[in-house]
Amino acid sequence: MMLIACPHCGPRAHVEFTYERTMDAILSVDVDPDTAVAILFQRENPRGPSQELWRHTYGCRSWLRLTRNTVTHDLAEVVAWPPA
Amino acid sequence: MSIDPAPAQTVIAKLDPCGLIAVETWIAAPDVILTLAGSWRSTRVEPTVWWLRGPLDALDDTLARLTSALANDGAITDLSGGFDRLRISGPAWRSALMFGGVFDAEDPAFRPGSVAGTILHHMAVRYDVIDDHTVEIFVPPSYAADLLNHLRAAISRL
Amino acid sequence: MSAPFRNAAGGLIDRARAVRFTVDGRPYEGFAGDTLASASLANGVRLMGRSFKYHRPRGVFGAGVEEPNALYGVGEGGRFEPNTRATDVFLYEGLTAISQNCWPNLPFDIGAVSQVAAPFIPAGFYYKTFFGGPRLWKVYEHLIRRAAGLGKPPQHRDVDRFNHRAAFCDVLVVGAGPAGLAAADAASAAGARVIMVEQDRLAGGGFLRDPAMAGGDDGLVWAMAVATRVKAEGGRVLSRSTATGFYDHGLLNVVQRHVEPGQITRDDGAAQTLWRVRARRVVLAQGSLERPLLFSGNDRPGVMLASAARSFVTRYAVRPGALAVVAGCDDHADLTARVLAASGIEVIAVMDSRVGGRVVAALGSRAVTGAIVSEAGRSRTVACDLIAVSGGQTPTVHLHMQAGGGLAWDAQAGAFAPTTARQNQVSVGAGAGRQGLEAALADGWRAGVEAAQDLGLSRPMGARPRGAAARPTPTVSGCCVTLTDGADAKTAFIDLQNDVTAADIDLAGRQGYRSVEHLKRFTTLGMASDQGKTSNLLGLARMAQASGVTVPQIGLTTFRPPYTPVTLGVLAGEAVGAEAAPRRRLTLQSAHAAAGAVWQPSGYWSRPRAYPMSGETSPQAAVREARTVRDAVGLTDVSTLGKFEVVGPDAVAFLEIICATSVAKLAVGRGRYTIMLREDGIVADDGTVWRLADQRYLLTSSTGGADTMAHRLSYARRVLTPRLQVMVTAVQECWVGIAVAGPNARALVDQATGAAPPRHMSVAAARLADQPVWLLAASYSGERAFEIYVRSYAAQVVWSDLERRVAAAGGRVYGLDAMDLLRIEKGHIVTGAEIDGRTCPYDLGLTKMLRKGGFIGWAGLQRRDFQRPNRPCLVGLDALDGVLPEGAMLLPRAGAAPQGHVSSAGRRVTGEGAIGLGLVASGPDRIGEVMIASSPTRRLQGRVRLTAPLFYDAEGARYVD
Repeated sequence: MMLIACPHCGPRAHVEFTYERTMDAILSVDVDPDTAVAILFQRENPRGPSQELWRHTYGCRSWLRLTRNTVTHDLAEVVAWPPA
Repeated sequence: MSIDPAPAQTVIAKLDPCGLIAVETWIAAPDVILTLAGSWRSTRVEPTVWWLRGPLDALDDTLARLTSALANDGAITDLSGGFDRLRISGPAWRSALMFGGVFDAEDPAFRPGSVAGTILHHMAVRYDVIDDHTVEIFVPPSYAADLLNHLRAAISRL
Repeated sequence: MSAPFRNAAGGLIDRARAVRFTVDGRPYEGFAGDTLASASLANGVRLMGRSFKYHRPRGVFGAGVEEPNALYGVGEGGRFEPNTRATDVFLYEGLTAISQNCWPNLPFDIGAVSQVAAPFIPAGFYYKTFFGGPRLWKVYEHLIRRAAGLGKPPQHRDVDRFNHRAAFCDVLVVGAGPAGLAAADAASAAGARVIMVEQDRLAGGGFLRDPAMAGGDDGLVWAMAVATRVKAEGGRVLSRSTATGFYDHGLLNVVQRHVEPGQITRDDGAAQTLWRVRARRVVLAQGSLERPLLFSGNDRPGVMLASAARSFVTRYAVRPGALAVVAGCDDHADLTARVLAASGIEVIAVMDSRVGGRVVAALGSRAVTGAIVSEAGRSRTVACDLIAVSGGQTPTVHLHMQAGGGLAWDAQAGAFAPTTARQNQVSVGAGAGRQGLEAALADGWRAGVEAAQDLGLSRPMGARPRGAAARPTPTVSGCCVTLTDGADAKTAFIDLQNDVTAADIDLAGRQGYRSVEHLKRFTTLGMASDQGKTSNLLGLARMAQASGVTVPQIGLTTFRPPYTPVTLGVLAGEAVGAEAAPRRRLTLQSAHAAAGAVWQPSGYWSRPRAYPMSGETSPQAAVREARTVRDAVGLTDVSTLGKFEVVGPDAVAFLEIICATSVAKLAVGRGRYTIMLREDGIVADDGTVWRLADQRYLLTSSTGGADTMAHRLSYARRVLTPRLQVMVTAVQECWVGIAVAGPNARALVDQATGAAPPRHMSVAAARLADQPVWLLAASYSGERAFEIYVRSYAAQVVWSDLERRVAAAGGRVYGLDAMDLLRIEKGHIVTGAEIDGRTCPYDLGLTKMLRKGGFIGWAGLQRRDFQRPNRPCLVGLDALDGVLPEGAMLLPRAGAAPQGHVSSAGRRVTGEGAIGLGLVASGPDRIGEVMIASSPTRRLQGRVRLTAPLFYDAEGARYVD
C-alpha cells in the first residue's frame, strides 16, 4: 500500500485515495467523437513512469497529479490538479 | 514520556445534532471565512470548502447572515443532519483512533485545531481535535452505530 | 515430576513457576519461560514428529522459528493451531499439544512401517503420476492425501479476537538482537520515534544463547537497559511480534501475539494484533539462521543445529543429549563444544571440515545412537545421542528482498547478503552477512545514527556498546553440500519438512532442470510451512555443484510474505461475520422494524423489503402493499437515494454538462427526470433535477450509484470545469426521504401541511409535523406521489405523523418489492437492471430527451455501434405461461441463439399474470412477437409476448389532480 504525499494533507495511506485515469485520458467536454474514441479505447499502457490523476477522496477530496512508476511504485511527484 | 497513555477515563459519546454549514469560496481567502464564522467553529475540509458549526437554533440566522455576507464570492450549503458527531474524551483518544485506522493520530503535530479526513474501520470520517484530551469525529449517520461500536471496542482493548 | 535432562541451575526459566502441559494426552511439567520443545527435551522426549512424506521419526532440529520438524497441533476447539513449532510456543498452564503426520500414534506409525517395504517416493512423483493419466491418479490420490499433508486444519470457528492497529515511526528496527538493539539505542538517543519489534518474548537475540559482551558484561542486562531507554524516549518495544511482510513505501505488517497459540486470552482481549507500521526508515536486524550439514540419516532425532543445542543448554538449562558429536565448518563447532561440555554433556568428537573432519552417517532410528565419523580419510563409529551441526550462517534477508532489495553472493560465507536497497531500508549485523558480535554492534549503532541523521535528527548521544573479540570469527566456511564417501544421498536430507533429499536434487539435475523455479516445483524444496529457512540455500548449492555452475547462476527464488506462518484471523482483524463490512442503517430503522420489516441488503444498506402481516409470506405482502398504493395510499422510505445540491451562478451550466437532458429551461419550483452518461455514451445513472431557488438545484441519483456519482460530479467540477462558479455538495444523509404515493396522497399531504401540494414534477417548501420539509411531487409508482424530505434529526416525528395519516386514509407502509412491482408495471427503468452498464439512451427509449450536445458522453454516443439496428432495446414482456424468470435468455424459438434477456420480472399489481421488462435485439420493431424466456440453470421456461414497456396508465391520467 503506497504512501501518497497529498499537498494539502501530508503523507496519507493509499486507501484514502482513488485512482481516476492517466492524465492523457482526460477528455474535454467538447471533444470530438473520433478523438474521444481514440483516447478512451486506444490507450498506451507504458512500463515505468506514468502521469496519473488521483483524488484524495477520503481526505480533502482534492484532485492530484501523480507521477508514479508502474514498476516500482516510486512517486516522483504529487501535485494539486489543476494547478492553481 | 510513553506513547501509550493509560486508557482510564477515556470515554466516547454521541453528541446532539448541531447546525452545520458548508461554505465554498471562489474568491475569498481563509481569513475571510474565519471572520464570517463568528462564534461558529470553522474547519477547513477541502482546499476551498469550510464547515461552520454552531447551535441548531441559530442555524437560520447564520444561513441568512452568510448568504448576504458572501454575496457573489461563494456559496453555502446547509449540511445539518448530514453527519453525526462522536466525541472521544480522555488521555488515550489518540491510541483509540489507531485501531482499524490508517492515519497518524499519534503524531504530536496533530494538535488542537487540526482536522483530518481519513478512513477508520472502512468508514469515511473527519477528525477535529478540540483540545489535548478531546477529539470529535464526523461520520454520516448511517455509519454512526457501527463506528460507535468499533470505537467502544477499541477503547476497551487499550 | 523429574526432568532428567534439566540442569540444576542456570537458564532464563522461572524455576519457581512450574507449568503443566500435555502432549497426546500425556501430562508433563516444565517451567515458565520454557518452550514446548525445551520442556519436552528436559523430560527426555526426543521424538517430536513424523516427516511429511516418509513418516520418518523426527526430533527437534532448531530452537526458534526455523524449526522444520517438531510441529504440533496446539490448543483445542476454536483455538486449535496446527503446524505450531514446538520451539516457537512458550509454555502456559494447561497447554495441550497433539502430534502430527502419524497414525495411529507417534511412536508407532503405520506410514513409517509401510515405508520399509515401499521405495521412497522420488521427487516429481506427483507430476509424473499426472502424466500417467487421470485414472492412475485416482488410484494414488486417496493414499497420498491420507499419508501426506502437514497437520489437520482447525475444525471449529476461530473464537479469538484480533486487532488491527496502525503505527507510525521514524525508525523501525526489526529484531532485538545485538545489532538491532544498538540501532534502536542510537536512533532513539538521537531523538527519533522508534519502534523495535522482536519475534521472541525476550529481547537479546544471539545474547540469549551467547550472552557475553566485552569486559564481562552480560548482553541481556544491556538489552533490557536499551529497551527501557527506547520506551522512555516515547518509542515502542514490541515483543512476541514478527515483522511478516515489507510492502510499498515503508509499510510493514507486524503480527504481535498477546497470548501463545491455543492460549485463552484474559479479559476478552485480542489474541493477536496486526500492526500496520509505516516507517520512514527501516533497520533490518533479523540475524542469521544456521545451515545443516549433509550426511546419511541427518534427520534422526538427536541431530540438531549447533546454535539450537547452545540455546537449549544456555537459555533453558536443558541438555539435549549426554554424549555429543559436534560437527561444523567454522569456529562455531569449537564454541558449541565448549558450551556443551560446560553444561555437563560429554563431547566425544569435534568434526571440523576445515581440517577434514566429517560426519558420514547418523546411526539409530527413533533416536541417534551413534555416528560414523571420518577424519583424514579414516572412518570410525562412535556412540552418541546428540549430533550438533553447523553448516554456516545464512543471513535472513526475507524482508530486504520483499522490499525490492538486491542480493550478492558471498562465496566465503556461502550465502547471499543484501546489497542495494530500493526503499529506506538498511540491513545490519548477521542479517547483512557481518560476522561476530563487535561487527554487529558497530553496524547497528552506525545504522541507527545514520537513520536519525537522514531525518534531520542529531541529538547528542552516548557511547556505542562494545562487543568482545571472544566471539568466534569464522575463517572459511562456504556452503558445504558435498557428501562424504560412504554417505547415502537418499537419506541425506536437505529440506526436512518436505522430505527433500540430496538425491532428489541430483535427480532434478539429471532430468534437466536448470532453473531454481523449476527445481523448487519439481522437488517441492522450500515449499513447506518453514519456507525452506534452513534448506533453500543447501538445495541451490547442491544443484549448482551438480551442474558445475555457481550458486548465483542457479538463482534464487523470490521471498514473499509472510516470513513466518500467520493466523488467517489476524489478517481479517475485526472484519469477520457481521462485521465483515460496515452496515449502513436507515435513520428510521427502528420505525421500520416496529412495522415488521423484512430486510433486504442493498449495497452496504439494509432496506425494508416488505412488511408481512400475520400469515403472509414476503411475496404476498409485496403484492398487497403494491395494491394498497394503487387503491389508496402507501408510505415508503427513499432516504438512500443519492442527493446533491448544486449552487451558484454557474449551477445551470454545470448541470448541463452532467445531464444529457435539458436543465436550462427548468423554472424555479419545477423538476424533471434526467439521465447522466459515461464518457463512452453508456447510461451511468438516472435521477431527477429540481430547481429549489434561482441558483440552487437538487440533483438525485440512484442508491447504488450515489458514491460513484459523487466522484463523477467532483471530477466534472474540479478537473473539467475548474473555472465555473458552482458549489457541488453531497447531501445524501442530510435528508430522510419519505415517499407518499397513491390516489389519496394529494389529499393527505394537503391535510398534513395545511397548504396546497405542488403539482406533478414541482417542488415546494412546507411545514409538516412542525418541521420544515421539501415536497417533491415525483412519482416512481405510477400514482400521484410526493417525496417528502426532512432533516435526518427531525425525521422520526414526520414519519410517525405520516404513518398515522396514511393508516387513516386506508394505507400502509410498503417496501422494496412492492416498489419494484409498481415501477415494472409503469415501465420505469432502474439502474442495475435496465441501466446495466451496456445500454445507451437509444437502447432505453430515451432518445427524445437528449440534448444536441455539450454534455459528458455526447462524443462517445456518436460511436457507430450505437446506431446498429439490432442492438438490444427496451421492451415490455407479457408472460403467456405464467413463467418469467428474471435474467432468463430470450430466444426466438427453442434451441435458437438468445436475442435478449429479461432485465426485470414481476407481476401485474392490478390484474393477474407475470410481466417484466427486457432488452431484445431490435425490440421495439418486434412488438407482438412471441419469444421463449429460458433459464436452463433454474429449469424454467415459458413463452412471452413482446409489448411496449408500459402496462399501466399509458396516458398518465393518474398524475393529474
